[in-house]
Amino acid sequence: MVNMIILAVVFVIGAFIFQVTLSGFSRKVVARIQKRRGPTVFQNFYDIGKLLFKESSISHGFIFDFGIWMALGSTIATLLFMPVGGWALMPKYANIIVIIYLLAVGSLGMAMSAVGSGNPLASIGVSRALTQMFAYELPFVVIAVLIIYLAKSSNILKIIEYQTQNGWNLFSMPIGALVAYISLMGMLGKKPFDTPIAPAEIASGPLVEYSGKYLGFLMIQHEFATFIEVGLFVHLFMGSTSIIGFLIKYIIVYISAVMISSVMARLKIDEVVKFYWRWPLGLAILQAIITLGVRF
Amino acid sequence: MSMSTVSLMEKIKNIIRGHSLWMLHYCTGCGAMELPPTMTARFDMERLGFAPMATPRQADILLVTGYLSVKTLRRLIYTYEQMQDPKWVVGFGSCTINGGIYYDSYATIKRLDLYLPVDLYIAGCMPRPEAVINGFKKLMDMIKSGEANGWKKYKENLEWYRANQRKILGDSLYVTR
Amino acid sequence: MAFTIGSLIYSGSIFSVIIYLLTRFSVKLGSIFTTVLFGLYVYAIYILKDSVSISFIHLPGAYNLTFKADLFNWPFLMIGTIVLFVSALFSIHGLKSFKSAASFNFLSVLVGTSVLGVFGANDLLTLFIFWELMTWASFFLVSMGKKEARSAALFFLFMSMISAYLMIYGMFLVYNKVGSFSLDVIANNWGDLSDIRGRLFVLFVLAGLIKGGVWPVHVWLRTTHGNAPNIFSSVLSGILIKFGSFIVYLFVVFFPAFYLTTKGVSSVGAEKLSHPILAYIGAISIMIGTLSAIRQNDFKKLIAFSSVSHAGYIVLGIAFGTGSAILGGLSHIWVHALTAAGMFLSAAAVYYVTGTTNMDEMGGLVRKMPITFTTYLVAIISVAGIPPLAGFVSKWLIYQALIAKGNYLLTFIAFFGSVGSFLYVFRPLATVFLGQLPHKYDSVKEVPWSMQLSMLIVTILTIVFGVFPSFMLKPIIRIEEALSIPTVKIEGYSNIYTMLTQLDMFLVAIIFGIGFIFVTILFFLLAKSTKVEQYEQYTAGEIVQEISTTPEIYHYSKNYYRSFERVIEWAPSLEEYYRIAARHISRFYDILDGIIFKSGIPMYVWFITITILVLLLIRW
Repeated sequence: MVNMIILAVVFVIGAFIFQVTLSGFSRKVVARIQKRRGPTVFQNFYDIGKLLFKESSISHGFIFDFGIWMALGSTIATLLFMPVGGWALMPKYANIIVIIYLLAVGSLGMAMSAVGSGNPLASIGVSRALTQMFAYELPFVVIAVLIIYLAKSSNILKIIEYQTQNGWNLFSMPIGALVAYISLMGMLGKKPFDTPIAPAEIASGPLVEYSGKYLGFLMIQHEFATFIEVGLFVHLFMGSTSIIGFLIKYIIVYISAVMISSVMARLKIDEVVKFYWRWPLGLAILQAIITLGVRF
Repeated sequence: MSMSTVSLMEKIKNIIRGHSLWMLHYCTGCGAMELPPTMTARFDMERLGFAPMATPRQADILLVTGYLSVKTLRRLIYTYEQMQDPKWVVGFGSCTINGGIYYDSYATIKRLDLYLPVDLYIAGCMPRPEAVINGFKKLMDMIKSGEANGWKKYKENLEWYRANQRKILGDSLYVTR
Repeated sequence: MAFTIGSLIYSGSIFSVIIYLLTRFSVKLGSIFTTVLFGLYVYAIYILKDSVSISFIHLPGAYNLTFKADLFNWPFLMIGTIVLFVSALFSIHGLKSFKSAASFNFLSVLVGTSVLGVFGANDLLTLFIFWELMTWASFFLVSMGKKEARSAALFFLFMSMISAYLMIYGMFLVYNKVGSFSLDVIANNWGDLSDIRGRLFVLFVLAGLIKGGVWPVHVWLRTTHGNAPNIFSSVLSGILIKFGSFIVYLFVVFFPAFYLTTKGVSSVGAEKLSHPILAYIGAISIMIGTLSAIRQNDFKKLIAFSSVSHAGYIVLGIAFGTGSAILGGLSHIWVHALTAAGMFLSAAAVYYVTGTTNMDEMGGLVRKMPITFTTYLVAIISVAGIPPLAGFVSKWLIYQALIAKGNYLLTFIAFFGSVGSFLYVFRPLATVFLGQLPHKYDSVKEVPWSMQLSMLIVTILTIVFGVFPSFMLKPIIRIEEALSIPTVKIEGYSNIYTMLTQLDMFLVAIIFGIGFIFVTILFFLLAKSTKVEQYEQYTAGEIVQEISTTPEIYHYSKNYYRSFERVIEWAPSLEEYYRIAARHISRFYDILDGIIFKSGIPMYVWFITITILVLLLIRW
């Protein structure tokens, strides 16, 4: 039990340091694409630290606070169910459906808190975020269900095991991997799918009223959520049991997403829905037909 | 506050703060024109940890870019008070120091530091991006050493600032708390 | 004291008159009596848990009403009485400004007895009698509601009549063949009914779908829920539409599985029980309910459409036929009964203090009504199927079944409904409870204690059934075992095993709790925050308080999902087609009317002559 707690703490801190460093690095990558030097790799640590150490912050009432606790708390809880490579804190319960839905608690908490601030811009941002979620989840789910069905288990470790035997899903279902990758971009809120937080348009949307430690918590939540989402993609399509391998593939997936997003422009929200339901969803169904057709 | 009385924790906090400065994307006057080159590839403000932010809740620095009309001043004060401590004000261009070329205008204010606690002035009309970067560097050093504490001064001398603000804005001054 | 369903119904019908008189005397006293009566029901059903009790009510004449409480209908009885109790508790204060409170209580007790009568019936005729009792009682209850309630109630009655005629036809079909209405006799002879089974199935299941509010016969839900009295809506959506699910359960699962079990089949698999068409109807219902709910602007109509979507889940689960799907479908009846009650009760509480259900006019009520908000929040987390609440368990079981069978389209639609439910459940949360509080509600207060208590009970039950799902699943697993359907294994209070994986809801809840507490502690260790007024917002430097005399215009609530609606606007609406069809039919009759009645007596006489001639010709 004590062992487990220590492992959990190490895991959470390790994931935090890894992902925050990586997002600092990704800022450097974006800068290089734009012919700039970019900040140091540790810039995001400075940003989060500064926000947490702000002398004052604004609260709009209990729901505003409660939503933040719910958002970060449930995201950390989700992280504990998440396997890394072949290792997981609770191997029996590394269930992909539980992870996807627990992650939704974080989004719900953040949405609740943001709207609880009473700022109309936050409300607009949340309405866009939920719409976008509806848009990108559907193609992702089609592919995820396909993989669960092939692996005959919704346990991520079993899915990894299936891939070590039969080769990566990335190669056996390339269209599906592309669809899931586009969905991942939407999940991460990378351009062109950063409509919910459009800073120049609705003043960073849901985040508009957050200051100091609130914003810091949300940044940490975002980093953890990124870790889970990108990790999920790696597990589903490039599963292998090695932890180092996982981290390398993770870096490749994440940095490539950042690179694509840095040369994109923002879509309008109805364009996002139309895009997702036209191309990725169509391709996902195509992939399902192909894969099932080959098997039967 | 002298250096010796600052605790170790405070020093660490100041160093972290000095490395991450988010400025409010709020352009009061023509000086804002110098910010795009400061941000983009040639001068790259982000490498120092500066980033533009959309709302005053998230921002640490208030840039007053150039002349400031009386109408804008009340919104500026409102915005400044929405920012969270610690926060810093940078006067940008000659207009914020002595009115610049608008020294005899009835519609602008001449000295910014009568109304808000200015931590740093960047002189020039306009200050070139090099000067802006230089000023930002200076501000970072001041924050790290704990010298930039205009926000504390504002709290301590609130009565004095309020009186000045009221003198020019009259009843149209809007104060949140 | 031994309770039987018969004695409970007796006492209910006697008490209904007493309660009517008491409510004439004092509304509160009458409602308290109703609450006590329903509390007694809950207790009585609870102690009937492990027994089989058969009872009669003797009617003058040859026929007796027969009742039975055993493991096959216990879960339905239990959840039905719980919802009855909760809404009766809510009505203690909730009926205060209600005009016809006495009739309301009288009819609610009748509805209560009809719940026992339908779920506890041992023969189809008893079931039908109480089914009709419920229809008539609800007809009068619904017509007590808002302005347009009368036409809504008529529409409800019309739909119920269709379902009643279908049922009565089906009943006599069975009676002709078997010679008895008794459920056991029908179940035992189910195999011999092969020549009429198809018709029977269509008749009863269609009747059930109409009552259950499943697409394509869901159209009555919008107007009925939109206009019914708010307290009654929770019963209507919580239990009465579950009557439909109950009928579907009887004909899809109970009869065939019971027959096969008595014939010695050791494992009744999906191939015997699955009804793909019905499952797809459930799936369409999920989609239509979800997409329509997103577009609603009225709190109660939104919940009504969410009921359509969840009735779809129930039908999908039951009709899919594998053990885990049936378990998911039946447990979704529990889940949805509780969450529908929670959502409608919080809507009723909001109506109680604001006098409206139009979401555009509200905002920021969480500042005034924290308990109502909590109830709504817990209910919607369960509706959206998010762990660690009850809604997740039932949906999870359905997903597991669908994925295990590899049914792509259905899995996709089930997820579609789940993700879409985030959108519609969040809309009242954002527009009614969160955001800025309009000035006109500055003086509102939280609802009185009885309403708070009843909402708290629903909330706690939703959490308990989520964290310890065995309380909810064990009674249903017992049914499946008795019907020899291969079912899922459950260990302890919270550990569920299916073919694909396992789930421990308690563990999920604990981990969630740890994360939450850790963050909360961290939050309080950091510098304290200052609480500000609701109007102190980032407004791009503009000072709103000065330029606007009514600051509530800054609450974003109108057309919340306009951008999404724009995407799905082109989609045809079934209700629109029904309306067009109705218009054509009425035009047709207008023409007929014009020919026959408007053109004078000679024409009239001519038509009568023609008719008599035709009748003579065909020698009727």
